[in-house]
Amino acid sequence: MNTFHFINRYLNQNRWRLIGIVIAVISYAFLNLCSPLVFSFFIDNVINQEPIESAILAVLIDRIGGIGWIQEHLWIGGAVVLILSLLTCTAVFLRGYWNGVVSESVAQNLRDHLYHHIQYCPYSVHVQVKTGDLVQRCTSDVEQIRRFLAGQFSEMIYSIFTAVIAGAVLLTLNPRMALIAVISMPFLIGYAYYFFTRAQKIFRSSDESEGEMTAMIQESLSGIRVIKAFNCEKNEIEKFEKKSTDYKEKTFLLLKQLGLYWGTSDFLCLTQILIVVLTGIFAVRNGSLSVGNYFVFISYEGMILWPIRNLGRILADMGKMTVSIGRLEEIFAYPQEETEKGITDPIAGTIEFSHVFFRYEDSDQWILKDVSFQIQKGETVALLGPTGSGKSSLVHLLTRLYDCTDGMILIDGKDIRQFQKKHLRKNVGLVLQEPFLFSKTIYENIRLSKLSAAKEEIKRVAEIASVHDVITEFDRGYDTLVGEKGVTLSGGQKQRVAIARTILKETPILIFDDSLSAVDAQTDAEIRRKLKEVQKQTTTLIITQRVASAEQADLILVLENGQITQAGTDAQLRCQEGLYKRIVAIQKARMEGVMADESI
Amino acid sequence: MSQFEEQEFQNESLDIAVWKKIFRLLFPFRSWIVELLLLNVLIACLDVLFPYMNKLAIDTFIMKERAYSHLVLFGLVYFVGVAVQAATVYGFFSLAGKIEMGFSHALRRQCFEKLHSLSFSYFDQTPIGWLMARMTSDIGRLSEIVSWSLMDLFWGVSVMIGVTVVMLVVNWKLALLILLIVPILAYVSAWFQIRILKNYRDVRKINSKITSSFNEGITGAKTTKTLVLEESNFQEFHQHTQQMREASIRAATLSSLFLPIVMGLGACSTAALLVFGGHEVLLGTLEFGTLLMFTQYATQFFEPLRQIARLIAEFQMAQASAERVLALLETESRIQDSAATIQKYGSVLEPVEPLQDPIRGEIEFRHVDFYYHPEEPVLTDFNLKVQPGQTIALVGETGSGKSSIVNLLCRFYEPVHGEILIDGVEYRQRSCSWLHRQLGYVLQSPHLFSGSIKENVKFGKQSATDEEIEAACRLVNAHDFIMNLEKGYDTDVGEGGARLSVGQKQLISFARAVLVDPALFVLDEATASIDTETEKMIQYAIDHLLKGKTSFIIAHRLSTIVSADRILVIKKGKIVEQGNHDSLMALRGYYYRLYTNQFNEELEQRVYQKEEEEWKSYSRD
Repeated sequence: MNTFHFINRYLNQNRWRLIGIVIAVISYAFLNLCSPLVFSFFIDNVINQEPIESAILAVLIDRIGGIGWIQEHLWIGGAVVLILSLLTCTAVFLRGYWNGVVSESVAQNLRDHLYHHIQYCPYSVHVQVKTGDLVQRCTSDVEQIRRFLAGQFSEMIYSIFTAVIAGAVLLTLNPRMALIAVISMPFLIGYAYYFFTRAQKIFRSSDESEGEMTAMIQESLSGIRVIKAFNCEKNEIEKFEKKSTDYKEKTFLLLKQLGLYWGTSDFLCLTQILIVVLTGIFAVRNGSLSVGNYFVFISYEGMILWPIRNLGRILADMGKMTVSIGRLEEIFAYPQEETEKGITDPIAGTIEFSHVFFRYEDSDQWILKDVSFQIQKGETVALLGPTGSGKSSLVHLLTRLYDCTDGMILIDGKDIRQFQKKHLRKNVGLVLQEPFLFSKTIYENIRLSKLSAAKEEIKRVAEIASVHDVITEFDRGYDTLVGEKGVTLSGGQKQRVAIARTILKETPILIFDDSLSAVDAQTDAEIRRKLKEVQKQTTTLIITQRVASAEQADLILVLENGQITQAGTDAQLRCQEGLYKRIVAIQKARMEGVMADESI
Repeated sequence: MSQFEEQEFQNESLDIAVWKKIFRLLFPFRSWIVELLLLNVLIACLDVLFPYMNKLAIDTFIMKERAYSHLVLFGLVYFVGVAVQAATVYGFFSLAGKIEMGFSHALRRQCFEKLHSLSFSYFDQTPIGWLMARMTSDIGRLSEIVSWSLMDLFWGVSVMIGVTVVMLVVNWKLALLILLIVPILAYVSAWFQIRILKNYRDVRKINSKITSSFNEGITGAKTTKTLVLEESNFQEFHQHTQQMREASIRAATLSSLFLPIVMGLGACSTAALLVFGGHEVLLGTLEFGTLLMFTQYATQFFEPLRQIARLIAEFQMAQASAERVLALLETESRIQDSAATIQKYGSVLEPVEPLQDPIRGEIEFRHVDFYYHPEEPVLTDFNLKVQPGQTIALVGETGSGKSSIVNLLCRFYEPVHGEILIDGVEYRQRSCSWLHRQLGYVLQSPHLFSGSIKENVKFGKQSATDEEIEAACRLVNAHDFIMNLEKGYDTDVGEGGARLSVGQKQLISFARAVLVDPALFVLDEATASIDTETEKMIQYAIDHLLKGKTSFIIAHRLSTIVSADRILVIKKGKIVEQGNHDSLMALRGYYYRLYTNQFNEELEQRVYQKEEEEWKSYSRD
């Protein structure tokens, strides 16, 4: 029932098409079964000249001129066959076409919904999930459902209806023989169901062993330098041989099992046909079955047996689909982030942290403890601290990827939780330490934050971020593809592209989350200088581990283990006992050491 | 890049030369293939037999009322046919499976061996993803084609021939009536199948876009959220799914048109049979059962024809796979040993025991020119002489040519001009394997293989005992941290060593090099910062490693550089300064500037770490 509700959710305006499929399939099944009847009529009554049993039909035939007339105009038989076939073909086409439309529309709706849902999951969910597992669900589980709607659904209806109609017709023709004709069917369905449910395990073990082999090849190719340098080629080939042989054997076992299944089920089906042929011959000789009806029996038998055999397999696949739906429902159970609610007042850029405490929900260790500070509009503040001191969490809070556990963060004097999340994030430009670039061109990657940007604007921000020269050195310049299929940018280049991307949208607040760490000191200074020129009014927060990046700031905050231990200008902090002074001092000592080296 | 993009499907004709080569590769499986072909003939015969048996049932037992004793015989023959059919189906699966899996295994192994014999330049130019596609999907598709599809093709052809013969013998006039449809059907099938397959390929391409979109949507979540890209990402994704929907529906429409057209054509011949055949039955010139048999044949005839059309289209598609796999197999390695050196020193796969002419460690670069692309020379007239046991630190910016020097020394590449001498002998006079067996090579980003720590350490020397492994690990100071792990040396390092820290991986890759006890050491130092504790351990390890051995270090860490015997400062492929640390500092040149700029940061890092340690000990108290 769950399955039905789930699919129903994604049908939308395709509901009537689904009904169309059912009608087309039933008419197909009906027409398919009609042809042998028409055939048997022509053979028995027209060609073999037996008397017509049905009174209505007899009257009807008499009206048009009797059997004799049809015998003289045999083309009518051909025409009837053609008309029947035309109807059948129409039904087949409609079935196939609607199957395609319905399954693809449902798959699209489902994929869109999944993607949308994942996009709007809160950040804490993204941190938890395993990407591979999620992608796997979004692709193969959706595929399972799509495949069911694309063919299995109508096949199932076809099998059931054919069996029911044919069974009913055969029963009216000769009840005893009809029973004999369907005797093997429960076994066939059961056997197929049993086999394909059980075969899952073998399928999986073959898949897994293929996966292992692929992983081995992948690893060997990515470690090829080590292999060659150690002259371990032979050893690798032996390892490969083992994996590849394992895959070969497991898959071969699977194929043998499949062969066994198809062999035995063929045996069952054909034996059933043989039984019908033999009993049919007796029945005809007894006179309890006409020759035409014998023909009907033989044809129907062939028509029902194969779909019935398939039915077991479809039922097994439906079991898989239920599992898939369950796995997708787990994704939909993740909460959604509310990004539209709240005020959208223009943001000027004053920031205040007021006694902010923060810890992750599943942990009792404080990441930030009683952090308070204020930044005026247009000021540049540097936040300095070692790895793990809570710098990045502070940024997460400011962009509301997480909310603080206690205390308050205010922008322009208003609690940031009052703002619409979307509005807040659009006004806080954040450059990450390990920025993500999408597999698009560099141009498109920069343009992401402001789709309306002109080419000149993009060049301008790239120049500010000191990355324009790097880009123009690539063969295709700004049209160079980034990522797997294109060039691989270094960490520093990525950071600079991300800076360009962020300053493009001109936000009142700009945060660098250690985002110049992979850029050398000179370029770092240059970028900061250029930025200052163009963005005098921007409130800037620089998070860094470098004294050089911090020393020119209006205010320097030193963060250690979640607490602010020092605050002041460079000049003030140099005179104050603490981390800042110690770093400066050691650097100085080293430089003097160099001087001393020189004098030797 | 363009040569590695997936080739588009072109409606090109079958290339006989390519398939000839593929069939040559199939040669070892010929006996299985012959068996399968024979089995196919049997299956085709059975396919002809059953309709004939049905005709017999009607003609002899129903219309003519032959004796029941004959019926027993009839039943027996039929039953034997059924049993044989079941057995052949099983046999068909196992034989085709044997061929498919055997062929893919053999082909994969050949490609794998080929890849392991190619030089570094090949891997520097070829994306791994491209190679993986050849090794997995292309080979998979090809073996499927040569087993199942080839057999299906053979089956289709034999059924058609069988049916045609029987029909012509029984009643040639009715047979012609059916055969008349064949050319039309063949044309229609070919037209549709090619379009269906093409569409199917489009669908697959879009599908991989969707998959990578999902991937990026999840891995790029932080960026997406902070840039508020949710909606525009979704719009883009929606376009992909829209494309997917349209392409798939196009494919579905084509297939659903194809089937009824074939059925309709089949119905035409059935109708014709009924009209003409029925007429003849009425006239008494045709047996009733024969007419029935022909109607059955009429439907049976079209299935193989449809299959053949599909298979020909499939062969066309697989041709691209075949070409790419063959291209890989036919790639020639840029670095090759002559037959004479292989004879004396052994090939990569078969090294000669015991080792001939062990390396003492004297290295000389003599007038070496080198480039990756002729228009961008990396080294020009490069000269260098190194005494046995010296430690050489190479310092310089990215792209200065440091790595090229090391690549040449390791013979991952060979000089374009000039020569490199090891112990006074040009190294191309000895084999690659001779050099690599005596080489200890530690990479910048240590590459570990999945498996246990033990397996990783003994990677270069499979015969190593546990004691030797432990000794090597003790030497590089890795033993203690390994023993602290839950399973000690049997700890699984995860894929690419993911479960260990960068520093730990580095120590293991040192131990791996120590175990081989190489005569020549090459160390490409990591740029990534490591905590003070590990840094100390690594320094200790390096000092032990290099003792008394000729070694080249691409150095990034201050401490390594300072302790080297000789520092070479490389700029644009030239040695601009050389000497030890003190003398280079005194020069106040390039090295001095590099030193003062670059290492400030390293110092800062150390202060942080010290602070952190202090704080930790403080909070513990």
